[in-house]
Amino acid sequence: MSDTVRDLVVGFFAAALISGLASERVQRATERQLRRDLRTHDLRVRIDQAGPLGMLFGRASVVRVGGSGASLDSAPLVVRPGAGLSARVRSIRLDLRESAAGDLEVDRMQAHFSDAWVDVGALMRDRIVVRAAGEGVASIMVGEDLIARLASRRFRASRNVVARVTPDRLVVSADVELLGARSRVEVTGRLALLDGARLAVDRPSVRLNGLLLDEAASAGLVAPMNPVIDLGRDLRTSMKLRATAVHLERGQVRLEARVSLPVESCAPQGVEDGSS
Amino acid sequence: MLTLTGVTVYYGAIRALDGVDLTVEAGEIVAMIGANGAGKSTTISCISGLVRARSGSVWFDGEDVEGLATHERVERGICQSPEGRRVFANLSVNENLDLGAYIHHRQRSRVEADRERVFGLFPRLKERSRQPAGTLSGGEQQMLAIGRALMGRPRLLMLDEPSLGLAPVLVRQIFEIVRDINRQGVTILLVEQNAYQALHVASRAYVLETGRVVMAGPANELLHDRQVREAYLGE
Repeated sequence: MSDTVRDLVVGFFAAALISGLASERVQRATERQLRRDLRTHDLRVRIDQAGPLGMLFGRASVVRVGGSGASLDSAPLVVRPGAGLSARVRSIRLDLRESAAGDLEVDRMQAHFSDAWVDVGALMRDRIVVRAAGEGVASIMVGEDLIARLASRRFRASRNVVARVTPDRLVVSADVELLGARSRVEVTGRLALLDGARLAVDRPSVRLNGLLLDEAASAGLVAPMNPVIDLGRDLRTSMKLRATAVHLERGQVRLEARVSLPVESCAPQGVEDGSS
Repeated sequence: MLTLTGVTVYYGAIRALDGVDLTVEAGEIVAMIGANGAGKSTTISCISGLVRARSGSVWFDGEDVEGLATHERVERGICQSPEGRRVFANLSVNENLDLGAYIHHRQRSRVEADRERVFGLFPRLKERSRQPAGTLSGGEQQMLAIGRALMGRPRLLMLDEPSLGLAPVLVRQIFEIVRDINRQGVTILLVEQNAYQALHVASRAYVLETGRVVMAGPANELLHDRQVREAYLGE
């Protein structure tokens, strides 16, 4: 091996090492920022560079944000349109467990944005500034406890609300006091998606103390329960969600949704917008 | 129709009822009067099954109902209009009435006849039949609570403080309606702090103090009793 080739090889590995260290630095800096924004300690950021020297040129291929206990009131990432050199990121992936949306807890929220663009200069200065991101896909897992809590909010006269989700039905049961009796109401049905935003019990059957009620008698018990989940009202998050499908699974409801990151119209004063 | 014998109820270590004996005959209006905490509401909660007697028995129509669940007692014809009304605020008047009729809901024409009967007693409810119960006035909610209990076709209707928080003119109206309901053949057990109105409408009455029956007899006799007048009628 000639000296030139050896120097090139050493130089390449040295550059790759520096690039790797830069990637680590960006990850740590972004983690610190997101832990503050999302109010959680359990948050990890992983950045896969685009090629071994990617970070030297401000290039990343995949950005992964994962953790738990986050507050989804703020979006994990915000789109800040601006001038300057941007580089395409193949994928931004979010995976947040047991996170709060408003005062409710979502079991898991996964989102995947392909074709995002990040600011090159900012990335070289240890920050991720998203310049553009298309609509992503999200999968949101809502557990039985959350459904029960929502149902008891809708129907305030109820007590001991329990929700059970199986692959073919949702069952919500609760105690109500009626005519001086502690009565058990059980509403069973499938979930239907309305307007991409609301999930409602569809064609429910209602039992009161084991007695199957007809539609007229049960209407009053079903109406306040619906929608079981209202994405706009219940899952308060600055990300825009539009549900496309709902699946009942054992112990949880899985929502598929189109999701977009909020767009910040202009950088607030005193905050570096990262443009190079 | 209803017989309580030596009923004792505890809330934790506190004795709320102490050997209460009480009877209600079919067709009567029986009043229970007493100060706050005397045990009036506990007595009807015990009859409904919402609280369990530690000792004593509750018989209804020749059946010991102590072992029955609360809803089974409703099925036997014991219905309660609770203190504080507890109507379902986000349901309409009609929906509240439908739930009162849930046991008989398959007999739709009878349910509709019952609804008309309730509207006959409380015309205001008919005017507001589609309105959420939470938007009704206190008096209207009281009417709805009684109406909902009537939809269950009670044989024994227990009214817990029906005049509580109502304006005097409404109180008189409610007691007139209680009398009308009784004339339609419904036996009534009335728990009331307004002793004057209760003793006027009832045929017999019990006076409770600290969980015990301290006086019992025809209502008009109690109405003229010196002790009752001093203690409960402010004289």
